Amino acid sequence: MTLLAPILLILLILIVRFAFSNMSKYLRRSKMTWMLGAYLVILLSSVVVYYLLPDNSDQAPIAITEQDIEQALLTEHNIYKAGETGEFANIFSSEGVYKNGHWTFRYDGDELFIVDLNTATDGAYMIIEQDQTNRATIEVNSYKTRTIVNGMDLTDKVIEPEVSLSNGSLIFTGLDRVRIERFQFKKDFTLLQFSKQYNQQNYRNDMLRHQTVFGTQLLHIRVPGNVQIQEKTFANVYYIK
Amino acid sequence: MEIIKCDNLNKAYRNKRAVKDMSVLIQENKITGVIGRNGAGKTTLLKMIAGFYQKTSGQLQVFGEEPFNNLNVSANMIFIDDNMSFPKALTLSEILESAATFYPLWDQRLAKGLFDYFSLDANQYHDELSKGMKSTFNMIIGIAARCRLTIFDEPTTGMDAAVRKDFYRALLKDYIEHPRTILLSSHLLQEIEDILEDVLLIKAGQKLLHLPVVAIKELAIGLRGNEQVVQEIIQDIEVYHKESFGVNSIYVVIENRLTEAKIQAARDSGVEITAISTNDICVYLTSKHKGGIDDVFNRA
Amino acid sequence: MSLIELNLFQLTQKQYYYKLKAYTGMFFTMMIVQVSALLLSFGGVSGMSTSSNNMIISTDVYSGEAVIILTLIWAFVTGVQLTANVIRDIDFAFVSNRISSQLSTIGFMLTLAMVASIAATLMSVLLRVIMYLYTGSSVAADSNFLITPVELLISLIAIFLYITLLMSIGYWFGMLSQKSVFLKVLLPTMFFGLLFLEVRNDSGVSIIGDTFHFFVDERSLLVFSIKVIVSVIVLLGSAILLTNRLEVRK
Repeated sequence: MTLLAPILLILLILIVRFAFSNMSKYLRRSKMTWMLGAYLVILLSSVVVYYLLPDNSDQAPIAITEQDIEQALLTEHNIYKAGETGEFANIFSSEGVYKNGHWTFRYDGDELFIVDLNTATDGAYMIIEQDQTNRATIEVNSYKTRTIVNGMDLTDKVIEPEVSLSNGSLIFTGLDRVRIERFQFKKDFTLLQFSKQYNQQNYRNDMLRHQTVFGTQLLHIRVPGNVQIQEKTFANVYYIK
Repeated sequence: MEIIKCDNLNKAYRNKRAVKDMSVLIQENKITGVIGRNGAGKTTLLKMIAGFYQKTSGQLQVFGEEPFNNLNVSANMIFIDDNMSFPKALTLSEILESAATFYPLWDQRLAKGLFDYFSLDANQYHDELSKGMKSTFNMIIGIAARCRLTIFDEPTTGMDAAVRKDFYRALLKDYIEHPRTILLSSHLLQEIEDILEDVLLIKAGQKLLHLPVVAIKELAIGLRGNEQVVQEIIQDIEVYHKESFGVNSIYVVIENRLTEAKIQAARDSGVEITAISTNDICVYLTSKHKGGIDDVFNRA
Repeated sequence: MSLIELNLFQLTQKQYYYKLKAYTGMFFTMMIVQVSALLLSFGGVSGMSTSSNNMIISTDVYSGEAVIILTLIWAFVTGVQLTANVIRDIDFAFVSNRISSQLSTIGFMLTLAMVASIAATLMSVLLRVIMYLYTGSSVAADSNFLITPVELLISLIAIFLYITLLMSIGYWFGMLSQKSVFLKVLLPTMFFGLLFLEVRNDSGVSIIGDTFHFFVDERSLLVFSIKVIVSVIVLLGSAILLTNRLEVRK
């Protein structure tokens, strides 16, 4: 919302006032009182309902702590470094990296095209390992790291791609972009102004609320050593031996 | 006992003096008519008495106190005009109920009786009423409140003749049963002179006279006849009004200072002597031009 | 017939009850304003969309602040409305003097403030309940979803004080405008002129800003209450004293 919003608000107020300043003529007072009573009753009963709502704090998407953030950032950093040095061996078993898919295919061919559809590998790290000891199997392992958005842990919303092999092509298919809607609340400024506890606890919570760390997808592909690889994907591709 | 007392009372606005050096004493339990032309200052005077306007100078006492911003005066006074403001959201019956809470002497039975008699609808809103019905409603409040000082400023605006008659009758009847001090301003003197006791005549912000209504009739006398004859008779006597008609004939209204003998002599010379109605006397006394509207035509 | 005597307190009481009936519409307008604000709140106070890989994540933030802000604007406008000539003329149709008229109006205004602040505070709760019912329990997991009863009370007091302050400012402006036509033009002009000057950083003028910060930066509820109460007394008191000679029923 921009500066326009306050002006719109004031306009709305004025319109409402103008339209309703003559209300007393069109609405009998008894009806008005009745509606007012209903209004207050609804508000008061909402308080009752509110405090009766089940406690869902265990579902808290904001159950992350500063340590979680640090951990996630460290993991991303490690991956980045591995990209520079080519040392991926440790990554796959390190903390914060979760395996979410495993495929094996038998393959006899000499050439392999690696392609993706639907930007399935966009932003992912694709580590292609050609193993001389491997003669006829293609193995794909998919990993994900922690994804935290606006202080909410959304790791389990990350979906692994579909992997298939056909006609000499290893195809990665991603699902259409998943849209996630989350709702957050903000405490009213009248409360925040005076809430003594605000200073410590809520402040920390508010800071966490602004943390966003996007996880990375890792695709570890083991290919027979004698295969010629051609790859046309959106991933960051690394070859290791 | 004096209910209202003013002494050299003045109310000045930027470009005119609405009330000039007014000195009046109004006694308790009388119906006084406040009569004068439009703009003569009647409303200004009444609103000062009611405590709505502030005086510019002079003395003004109602119930022995300054009426402006005065709780005690307000509690015993009600001011009815055609301009009364009531909450838009309240129905007529709700307004009457509210009035009852402010006036301990309120007579709900009388109010309801009058209300039904004039066919007002209890569930209507005040601003939905026609001008005449508004005046009727306001009048009901004025009578039923039984305030010690009740002021009516042109209360019959918009009322038709039958309703006006009923209003005066109702006012008089209730006044007789429950005496109070009433000030009634109107420009239709002929209608109200039957219920008035006193008349306060105002011209250009000043008091012209304050007399019992019966005394006013005696103030002037009319002569009609040949111009020269009449002129001779009325030498040295103040002329209030002069009108020509026909050839050489005039009609004059003069201060009633003729002796019986002179009147007889006038009759003998063919001059017609007429009494003047109270209303006409007041009109002539408050007019700016002696010749009335004929002056406009005579100049040409 | 003896004179009826009436003291100021009794009269003010009678007028107060009269006004509760006569101006019930103002409560109604308040309700309409707040309900409209609630509907506006469903659009979220702010939103953010981020995307990466195969995810688009949009976060909408909700709060009851829209209701509070709109209620504050309503409060100011109502404060001004209550100084209209009509109000006095209605009072003087019956028994009144200027002080009783103003005191009863102010009493009515405070009643409006109380109801408005309770409603505005509870709207935040209602909003959360509605969002919960509409989107499921995941919404409740946000730590800002929970408002403890103590917090509700703090919010209620704070909102009541803000509303009363704004009503009093509106009343003060309105009353002074009634005093003279000159003021009626001068006061808004001065206000907007000052506002304009202050918005420009280089002007060095900051009266309005300072006043704003004087209230908004105060962290102690007790001190804030004192600040507001004193300001309200000064504003309303001066309004009553300065307009005690107004002519009515013109």
